[in-house]
This record gives sequence, C-alpha cells and structure tokens, in this order.
Amino acid sequence: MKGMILLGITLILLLIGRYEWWMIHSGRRKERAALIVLLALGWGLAVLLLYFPELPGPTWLLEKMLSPLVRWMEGEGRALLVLGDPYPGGTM
Amino acid sequence: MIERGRISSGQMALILFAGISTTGTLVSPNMTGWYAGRDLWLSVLWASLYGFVAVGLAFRLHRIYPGENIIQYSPRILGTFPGKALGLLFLVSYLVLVGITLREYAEFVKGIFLPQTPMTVIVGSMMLVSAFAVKGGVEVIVRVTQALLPAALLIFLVTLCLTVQSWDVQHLFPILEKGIGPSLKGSMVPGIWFSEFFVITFLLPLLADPSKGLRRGLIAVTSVALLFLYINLICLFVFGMEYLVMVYPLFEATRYISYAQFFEHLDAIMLMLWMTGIFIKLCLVHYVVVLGTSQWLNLSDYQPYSLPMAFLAAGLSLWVVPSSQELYRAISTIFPFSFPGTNVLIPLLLWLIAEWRNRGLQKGEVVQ
Amino acid sequence: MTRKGIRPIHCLILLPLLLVGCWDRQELNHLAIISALGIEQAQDGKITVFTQEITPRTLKGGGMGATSEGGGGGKTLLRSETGETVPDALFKLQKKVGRRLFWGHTMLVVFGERAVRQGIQPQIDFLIRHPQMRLRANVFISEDPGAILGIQAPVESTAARTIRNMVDLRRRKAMDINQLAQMMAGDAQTAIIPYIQPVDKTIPYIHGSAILKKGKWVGKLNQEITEGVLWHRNEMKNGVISLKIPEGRRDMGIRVVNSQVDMIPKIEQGEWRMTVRIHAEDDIEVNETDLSMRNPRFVRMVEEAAEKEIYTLAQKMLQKVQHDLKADILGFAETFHRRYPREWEQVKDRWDQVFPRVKVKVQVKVDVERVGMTNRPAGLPMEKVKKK
Repeated sequence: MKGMILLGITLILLLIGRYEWWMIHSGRRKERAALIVLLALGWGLAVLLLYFPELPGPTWLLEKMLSPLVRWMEGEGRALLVLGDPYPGGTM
Repeated sequence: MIERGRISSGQMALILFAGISTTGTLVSPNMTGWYAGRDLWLSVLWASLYGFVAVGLAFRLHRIYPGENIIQYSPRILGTFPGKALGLLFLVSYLVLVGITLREYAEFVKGIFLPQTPMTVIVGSMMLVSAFAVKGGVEVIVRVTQALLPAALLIFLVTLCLTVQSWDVQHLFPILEKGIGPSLKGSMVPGIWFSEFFVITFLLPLLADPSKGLRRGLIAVTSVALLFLYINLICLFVFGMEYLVMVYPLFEATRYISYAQFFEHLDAIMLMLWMTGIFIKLCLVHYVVVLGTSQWLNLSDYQPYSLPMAFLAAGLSLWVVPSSQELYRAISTIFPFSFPGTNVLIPLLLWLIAEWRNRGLQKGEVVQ
Repeated sequence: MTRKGIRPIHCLILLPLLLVGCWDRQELNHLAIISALGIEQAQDGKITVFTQEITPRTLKGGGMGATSEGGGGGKTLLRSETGETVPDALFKLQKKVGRRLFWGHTMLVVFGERAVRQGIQPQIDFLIRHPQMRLRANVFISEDPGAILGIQAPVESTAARTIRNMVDLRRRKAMDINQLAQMMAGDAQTAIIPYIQPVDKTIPYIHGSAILKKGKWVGKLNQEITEGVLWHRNEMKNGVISLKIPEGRRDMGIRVVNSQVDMIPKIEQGEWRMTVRIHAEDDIEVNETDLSMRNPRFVRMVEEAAEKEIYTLAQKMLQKVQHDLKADILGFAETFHRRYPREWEQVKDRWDQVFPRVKVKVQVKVDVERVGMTNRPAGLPMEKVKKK
C-alpha cells in the first residue's frame, strides 16, 4: 500500500516536473536546478510523512522554542475557562 | 522585476481584506473568547493595532526602498548573509501559513461536511486550484478576487444579519468584569490575523498607484477590524458564554437561523462563501511564497515554481499539526507569538536599522 | 507549448485518479432522515435511544397517497436500541438500518424522565458535538419518549413537525438545544424543559415542565406554575386569562397580545432585592358581564382584575420555584451578575443558598388595548347593558 502511494507521489511530481521543465527556457540552468530542488524537497517531505507519520512538525518546534510564553498563555487561559467540566463529580 | 503585472491600490485592499479575514471569521471567535470571555469584541480593537503597525512598517520600508519587498531589501539592510537568512525565515513562515490555512480549511470541511473523504484529497484539490491561479500571476489573482468577493461578501453579511432573530444583547454585560486583562490577552489571538497584514510588503511594489497604498492598506485593516468586531458580537449575542464550546461559532450561528420553518439550513451557503475566501487567501499567501522564493534565489521567473511549491505546501499542511485539536491549541497558544513576532517585531527592528543606516542621507539615496 | 501531445497524455494519466471514488456522496435514497430523537435511561446505567425516521412514500398510480394502508406503514417509523452511551446505541441502531442515519433535519429531542433524573449533561454534549445536529431542535421531556416519537401525525408529515408548529403557534421560545445548553452552563446552572405527553396516538400535548439543576432533575411544575414562569421569562404570548369581575359577577376572557418583563436588581445593606415589573398588553376576547367597555372605569376594572390574577400567579410561581425547589430558572443570577459583578463574585459559589433569600417584589401593569369588534356586550339588549 505504501509502495503504491509512493509511486503515486513520484508520478505526480514527475508530471509536475515534466510540465514545468518545458516552461523554463533550456538556457536557464539555475532555474531548472531550482525546479529540481523544489521537487526533491516535496518528494522528500512526502516520503518522510509516508514512513514516519508521527514526525513532529513545525508547530512542535515552535512550541519548544516559545515554551515559556506558551505555558503562560495556557495557564491563564485555563484559569479563566468557564466550561471545562461544568459539573464536577460526574453526572452519569 | 520578475512580476510584470500591476494592480491598483483598491485591488490590493480587496485581496488583503479577503485573504486575511476569511480564516479569522471561521475560527478566531472561539479562541479569543477562551481568554477574553465576554470581552472578546474588545480584543479585536486592541488586536487591530498590530494591523496598523504592520501596514505602516511595510509602507515605511517600501518608501526607503521603492519597488522592493522584504526579500529584496533585507539583504541591503542587514548585509547579504543575515539578510538572506531573514528572507528564508519569512518564506518558511509564509509557507507554513499556506499549510495552516489549508489545514484549517480541511479540518472544517472534513469535520462537518466530508467526514469520509481523505484529507489529502480535500487539501490537494484546493491547493491545485490555487496553484494554477498563482501561475497566472498577480493580475489573475486580483481579477478572481474582484469577480468573487463582492457577491460572496454581500451574501455573507446579509446571512449574518439574519441571525438578529436570536440576538440577546444582554450577553454583552458586564463589560470588563475582570478588568482589561482578559481582553488584552484575548487580543493575542486576532493579533495573528492582523499581523498577517505585513504581506502588503509584497504587494506595495506592484502598485500602479503607490501613493494611495498606505491609505488603502489602512482601510483594509479597518474593514477587517470592523468585520471581526461584528462577527465576535454576533457569536456573543447568539450563544452568550456558550460560544466557548463551539469550535466554529459563526458557522453554528448561521446554521441556527430559522425563519418560518422555511428559511433555514443555511450551512451549505456558508461553506461556499468560506471556500471562496479560503481560495483567495491561499492564492495570496501562496503567491507571496512563490514570488519570494524566486526573488530570494534571483531567478528570472516565478510561474514554474507554483505547482512544486503547492505540493510542498500540501505536504506541510498534513505535517504542520497532528490533529485538529492540536491545530486549535497552536492557534490559541503558539501562533499568537510566532506570527506577530515575524510580521511585526522583525519588520520593526528592520525598519529601525534601515533608518539608522540611512541617517543623514538625502531623500532618494540609500545605503547599498 | 513546446510539444504537442503532452497534454492529452497527462490528462489520460490524471483522469483515472478522479475515478477512485466519491467518499461522501449522499444520495437521498441512501439516507435515513431522522426527524426526532428520544433518549431514555434503561436498566444498569444503559441508554435507550428512539429515532423517528421519515419513511419515503411512493405515490401509487391514481393519485391516492399511501396513507390508506393498514398498520405498519405510517409516515414515520419508530426504532429503538439500547447501548452504553447515546452514540453507542445509535451505532447499534445503524447496524439495523440499511441507510445512513442523517441528523440534519432533526427538529425534536425528547428526553425520558428517568434520563433527566440521571443527568443530561453528557447527552447535551453529544448533541452539540455532533456535526450534523441542529441547535434549533426543540427539547422536551416526556414520561415515555417512545410514545411521543411513535405518534403518527394526521395532518403534518411527522409528529416532530406537528410539535414544532405548536411551538411556533404559541410564539414562545420553547427550549432548543442552544438555549438549554446556555441555561445549563449559565450562572445559575438551572434549566426548564417543557413536558410533552401523548393524548392519544395522534396528538402530542405540551403541558407543564421540569426543572433541572446542574443537569439533573429537581422537580416538576404543573401547567399553572409553568405559565407563571413563562410570564416571568417573557415567553407568554397569545395566552388567554380568565378573570372574575366582582361588579359583573361573571367571567371575562382576555388575550395577552404583548408583554414585557423588567427585572431590577438591588443590593442594599447586604440584602438582595429584585423588583419584577410585568407589563402586559391585552385584548378582550369574551365579555360575559353586562359591563360596557366604552366606560373607562370598567376597562380599568378589567385591568385591575388581570393585574391581580397575574400577580397571584407570580406569587404562586415564586413560592414553588424560589422556596420549594430553590432553583433559579428566573434569570436572577444573570441579572445580579450584570448589575453587581463584584457582589456576584462573592456569592456565585453559594447562589443556591442566596437565591431563596432574595426579596422579590412583583409589580404588574396591564393595559387593555383593544376590546375586540364590539364595545358593549353583544347579544344583550341595550337597556340591560350597564353603562355607568
């Protein structure tokens, strides 16, 4: 199954690459190189996500970087929260 | 200039308005209310300051370096290497914004309308359309906006007016019950959207009438502030403190409309309008990423990179947060710092450095 | 384009991708449209759900509707299933139904009395969390939700629509999910839900109400007290009051056209006071007395009688709600909260004890606006009409 998805991803990227390749004038090597790099990045990310779906994302990184601020935001927010469990002690 | 298209300042204001307000109307009231409680509408007023500052900074910087955007002038202000690094930071942050926008859209559609459809399909189809629009250039994007937005906005506002039947203005009181603190804290959330106004830095160089840029930009900020104020009040009036439990309070409020057992079930219309807005937002931010990348690499053209970048953005949207509740947690705790950080704080520092480096120079001269 | 033929090939490759399927297609004939949901407590903490499903009818040739058939084939179909939670029961129910349950048109939610005694907060959570459910759906309590949902409406398409029409006709805001959730999470954490009973197999009857505190049953109000609460909550529209007129020694019927309720909170020396001002505009519906309504003195007499009637009702209601049940369904908590946020902050955790001690003053003002199509008792000879 994963092999099929990988094949599909590769196919889509190849299609995009092939389509755009002809849009760039053949004399422009840097432009074509940039295209290949971008496609490779996309392919890399897709493969990474396909085989490691639990990979922590950019938000996780941001949270680690901003952790004191995030904690401040969370702490006060919970204290002000009206809902949460409106009827502690259980209703069922 | 790799973008040959020109837009008018009115078109700029329109696309900024649509591009920034859409996702905000969908998710921001809930999270603002989380912190601000009843005073969430005040939060919008505080948050709009971000927007005015962001637009002002972009305009000031553009006046020092006319015809350039942040990707182009940051190396001239900070020196090549730090400047390029800053440019990359901006590109990545906007690419992440494309991913987040896609994800917000996908979570909304999947959660309510298409629970069985794989997220890749929802994300992919929307991104594909936007990528093709971006390939057409900035003029295509503004034309699409001009064609779609007025009608969509009109229907949106009329639909919102219909909620008046369930308004209870009493929910507004007491105002400032716990002082000004909660509303200030709540303002961090709409601040995310207002700080996004810094994307104007990519549009200012494209203006056919640059002299009106600042004024129209500020008009756009004001309109978004008014719209946010309006929707926050509606959510409060219809649901009272209960809006805290609704993830999409405005959507629930429109679904709550019922006239004579006949004029009801308006949710499909709202979905349509939101899709239009999200499409415009994706076009705008994706355009910024694609254009910025090409400028960052000094390429001669940006159109060929729209589709590959779209693929990257779609992948990112699935990667950026693991689940919907994490997305909303990120919006309410992490993004209130990261977005104003990159879009207001960094430009502010950049502007101060630019002014300092260009001190004593004649008008029109800049340090290279 | 540099090479011809690239695009068609691309299209051919891409097209099959579109054929993999439409995941969320919803054909009308694959949906079981649920018009009403009933929730009742079963044995051992289980939950029973009832659904009223709209059965699509095929019109037979000759134009006769399919209503003429015998037992079994009504316009709606009642199903029920028991499970650990509401979603669990619905999942089990789904297994028995060939069509996907669709909740977008659910107009009615009926809680069983036993379920309410157990607490309905989890059910409210389910109803709000569900993406398809409309917050506009009316909520009722019944001793037997199954019987309500099993009603075959003779005129309307479903019993749910009959009940919705009844609610609309009375022009008062019967509880819907949104209002119920707001009340339950509000300052007083109480709620009032109207009762509904089947009169026979075709008629549902909205009568009386139940009071909830913290999501659980605390007591039942009869129709009279319920009307008192409705007066207070400004939801008494189109109601009819019968009056005894001392001078005429006979009855008079007046209809409430409009009413306005103001609550004025006051805290003086630690004493919490509430002034409730009810102002009603009425029309005279029937005049059994011999009093001519051309005389303002007689009109004032009618108004005074009405004021007294409403006042008595309000006192009865307060006795029951404030002193017997001690459940603040009158919105006092919110009113005090708005006017005195600081004082409210101190008592909000023990509002249950403060509420019964609030001194309530009821002021009623009734204006007769119209006397109907005649201004003297009709069908009575002129000389018998009392003019002065």
